[in-house]
Amino acid sequence: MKLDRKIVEIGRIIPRIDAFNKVRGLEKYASDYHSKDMIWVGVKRAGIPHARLKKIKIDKAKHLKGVIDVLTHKDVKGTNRQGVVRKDQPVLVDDKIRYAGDAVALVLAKDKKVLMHALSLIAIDYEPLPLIFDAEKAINDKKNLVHEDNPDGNVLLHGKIETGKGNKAFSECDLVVEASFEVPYQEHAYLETEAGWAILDSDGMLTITVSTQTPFRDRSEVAEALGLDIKKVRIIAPYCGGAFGGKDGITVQTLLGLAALTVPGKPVKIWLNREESFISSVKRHQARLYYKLGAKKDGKLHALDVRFFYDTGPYDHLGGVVMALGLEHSGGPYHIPNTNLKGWVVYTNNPIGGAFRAFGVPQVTFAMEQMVDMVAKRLNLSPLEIRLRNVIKKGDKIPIGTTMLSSTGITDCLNILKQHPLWKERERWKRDAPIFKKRGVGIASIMHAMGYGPVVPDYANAKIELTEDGKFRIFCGVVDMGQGNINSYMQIAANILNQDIDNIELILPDTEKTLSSGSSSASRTTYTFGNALIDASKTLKEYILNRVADLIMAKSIDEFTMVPGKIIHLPTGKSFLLKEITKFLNDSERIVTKHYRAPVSKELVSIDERLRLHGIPHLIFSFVSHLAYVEIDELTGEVEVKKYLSITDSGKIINPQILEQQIHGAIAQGLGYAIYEDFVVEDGKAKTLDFSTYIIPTAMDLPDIESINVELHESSGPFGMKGAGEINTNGPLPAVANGVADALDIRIFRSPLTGERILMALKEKKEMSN
Amino acid sequence: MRLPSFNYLEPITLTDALNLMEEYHGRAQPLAGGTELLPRMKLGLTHPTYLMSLKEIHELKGIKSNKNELYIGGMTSLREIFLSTLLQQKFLAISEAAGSVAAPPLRNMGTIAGNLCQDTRCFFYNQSYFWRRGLKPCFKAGGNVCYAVPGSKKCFSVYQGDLAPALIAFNAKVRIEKKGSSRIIPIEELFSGKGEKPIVIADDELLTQVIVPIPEGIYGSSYRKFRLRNALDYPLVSAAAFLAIDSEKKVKSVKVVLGAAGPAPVIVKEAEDILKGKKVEESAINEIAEAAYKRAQMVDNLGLPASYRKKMVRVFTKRAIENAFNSIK
Ligand SMILES: Cc1cc2nc3c(=O)[nH]c(=O)nc-3n(C[C@H](O)[C@H](O)[C@H](O)COP(=O)(O)OP(=O)(O)OC[C@H]3O[C@@H](n4cnc5c(N)ncnc54)[C@H](O)[C@@H]3O)c2cc1C
Ligand code: SF4
Repeated sequence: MKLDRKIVEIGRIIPRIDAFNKVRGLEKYASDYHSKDMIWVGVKRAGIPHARLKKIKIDKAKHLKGVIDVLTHKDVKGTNRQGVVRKDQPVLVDDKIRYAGDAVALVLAKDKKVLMHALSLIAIDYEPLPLIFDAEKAINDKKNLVHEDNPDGNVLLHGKIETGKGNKAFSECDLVVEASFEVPYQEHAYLETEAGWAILDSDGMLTITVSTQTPFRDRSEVAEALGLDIKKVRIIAPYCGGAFGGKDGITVQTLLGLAALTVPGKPVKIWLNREESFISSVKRHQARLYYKLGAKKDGKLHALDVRFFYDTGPYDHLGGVVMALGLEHSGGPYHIPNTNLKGWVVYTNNPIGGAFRAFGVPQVTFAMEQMVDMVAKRLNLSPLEIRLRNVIKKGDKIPIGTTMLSSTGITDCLNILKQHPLWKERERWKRDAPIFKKRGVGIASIMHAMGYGPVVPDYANAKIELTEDGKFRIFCGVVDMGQGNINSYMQIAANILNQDIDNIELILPDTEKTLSSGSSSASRTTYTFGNALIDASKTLKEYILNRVADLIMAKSIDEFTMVPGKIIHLPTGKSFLLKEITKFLNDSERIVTKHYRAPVSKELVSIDERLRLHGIPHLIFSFVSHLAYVEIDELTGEVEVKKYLSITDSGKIINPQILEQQIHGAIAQGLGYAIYEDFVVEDGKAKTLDFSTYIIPTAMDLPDIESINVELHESSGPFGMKGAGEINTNGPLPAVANGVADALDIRIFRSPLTGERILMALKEKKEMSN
Repeated sequence: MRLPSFNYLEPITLTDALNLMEEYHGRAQPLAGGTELLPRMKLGLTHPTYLMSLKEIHELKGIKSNKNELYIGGMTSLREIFLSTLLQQKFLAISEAAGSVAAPPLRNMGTIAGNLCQDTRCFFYNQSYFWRRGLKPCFKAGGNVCYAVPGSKKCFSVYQGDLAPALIAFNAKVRIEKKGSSRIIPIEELFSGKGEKPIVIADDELLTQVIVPIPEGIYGSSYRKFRLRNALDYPLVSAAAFLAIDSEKKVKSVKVVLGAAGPAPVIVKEAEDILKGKKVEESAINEIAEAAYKRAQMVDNLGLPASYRKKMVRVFTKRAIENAFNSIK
């Protein structure tokens, strides 16, 4: 027997340890917490989009039998403000109502029925204010303001970057294409709506168990908003039932805390229903974008001018950071020497725009990838050829003027696409279209940054312990919202320590037990925590082997090998059980903590301090090329995606199954965004409040998805990997739009690409040609 | 969104069921698969005090036939109807309609009687309490306003059942029973054409059986449904077509029925005049599609604008007729 066998390989499928419990309904999510004596908590939402608050009438509700208390801003002892960057959102409204989902009052009741009744008895006295609903117009509105105290009026953040000769370079171009684009809000539509459970114990400790992506940040926010000592706040984060960015930051945490403080010793519970979740939760920013792209005759992109407006609704949430990332990606993965890029993220009275998987990049990608195709068409180049001529290589400058220094696989992604049968046979497939159908093939090439950027520390603290019964326990401070990062952590530790997965235990994020490791976001969880964990696991292994070597007076630790449950001394063949060895180690040897901080870009060119603070530039990027086979029904206008291909460079693979799940899931969500999902808001009020009006695709509406991985080694990544959670979300909308254009010779500048929209465009085209 | 409380009855024979219906003076609402009724109860749109489940009444389940007629028990599941080879061979449109309802789990539970007796729907009505609160009840909810067509005097809610158009295309009938009596009516007579109360069946009656005459000669049929997704969605427009031809390929009889085009299935009566005795040609199909377009009654109260849905009437009428013709072997 070869003793050095690696038990858990990197790059192999390790089935998800959470799957079995989840499919059997045994995993306990935040929304599953329940007890006989618990108190139901509900929120009175404003229901109106913009008004000055005059009075909240709560007496009737308070006197209703079964109501324990009704709370308003007057009961909030801290700052009553929350927010990730700019703390501009009240826990409970105190001066102004800024969107229909604002929380105005909190009701504590003995059961849900009483709760609903009590909520209906609360009346709000208010003075209506003019509605601010168009982000582009709002930037110049100095009279009607969402936040009177914001120095830039309705502009939350404006970013501009100029490189090369900027707009002057258009005069050097042989051809210039211009267009404007619009995208609506996208709702995360996670299965588990916002939920949590809290209790204030007799020692004054407030424990909140909540569906969140950010337990450690939540802890500070709760403490500050409610005026508590941070040491007296504990956040426990079970697996999320989906989040996609929508639980990056406070959802119900502060409300739960406030309620729990009112009824010491009693558990309180909040669980939003779907409508309330749709009304109050953050969305992918709706946006309007203006693009101008110039090229030389040889197909080289030469100048780019971009102006875009992201509607962030009433509160910052992460709007500034989302806009900045959009700006960084607004020119795609291309080398364009002269650019003039401007982005605004603007306050309005619409729903909150916030974090959503791919974080501001899908909007600009929709525009840029169509622009590239439009240029290609004018130059009579194939969409693939123009991309191959322009995509960045390692060492090139990206459109914001910084240098690409990470592994750069976009050319490989496109070359694989070029050789793929779906690309080679596309013309035949298009010719074979059935009657009344038109077929087209669209592609897109995309880059996507990983991590927090240059200023905010992108760190993780991994802690691992050799337990008293000889197993290994990982203390994980970064949430698994469903992406499977926790499984990868177990795989990494098992691999380094040469153990079966069964010998690895896991502690889920809990601010009392695990260590702060940043948010579960930005495609960073496996990269950052993984790096810390590799270090911690290797160090622990060394400690253990050293201890054994000392004990038996061996020459060096090289004489040992670790196998599941034990250590073998190779020269003698003697083995030592880990559960015996552990008795000889004291706690500081048995438990290892390691910190890792991700590298950042050191370039200072072209990017001002405010943008740097909001996260750009980045250092490490992943890449994809996408291809969509689309078929359009000429009589209904409906688009069907028949086949989908994604080629991904996210570095080396740790677990191919988890990576594939991320790719497929992201493409499914991207296709929803491309064809179906349209969160409608009229006069500040959401109109699509459930799944019968907000349409997301079913399994029956998704094509076969083939995913291929390039597997370039990223030297800074754990086992050579880099971020993969978000990037594939960006491709479907532009790939499908390019496919539609290929099929019909019609450009759709507004998403989603619904049948009705396409039919209208077809009709217009017909009328034009008549 | 919790189910309100109710009392539960579970007879095991049809006679018991009919007795109970009489005993409770029509306050025992029949519960078949529950896939349509329970969601309405959860939304607070209806509050029956008694639910009488029919699921243990085995005599109401199953498909039988003799030389002339096909009999489908009221409690037969849509899945069984969809998978029946007899239906696939002889009653394609009905099988297609059953297979297009909702999604597989709902077809396992949903029944043909429940499908026929489902309520009409409207964007402004099929909403949660949360959504509707603060709004005055509309006609359908017993009030006197309409949100879909402000100022109108009646309700425009839409009948979106998939099976009725296909069954009507085959001239199917239903057996309706109450204690001590039984009657058989053509399916189209099940519908009042009024959005407020679309199904004409008395409180103490049960729909027990669907009877479909087996057509003679050479014929084909088809059901085409327009919806946003390939699963879950109700029809936004649908069309069923039945077409019988003689040995010279001339049309002997034709029936075209629209779904989701008003508060009841819409029979395109012009079809017979246009096609009978003629060969199936594009101009005739277009003419029927035009007649269908005119008959369809649509307002902005479903997922897509009425103007777009109305255009789709032409498209789906044509497709149903063409497919029916192509299915003739
Ligand atoms: C997500 C979703 C999607 C859906 N999509 C579709 C669709 O695409 N097409 C479609 O047609 N339907 C659709 N439905 C509605 C429903 O699932 C089907 O119509 C189903 O066939 C109803 O049958 P059931 O047995 O479940 O009826 P139930 O819900 O049990 O009953 C429906 C109504 O009929 C009455 N009833 C039942 N049996 C009898 C009887 N024997 N005599 C008298 N009255 C009776 C009930 O009292 C009730 O009023 C959908 C439902 C859902 C939840
Ligand atoms: S059509 Fe009018 S009356 Fe009928 S359900 Fe809709 S809103 Fe109510």
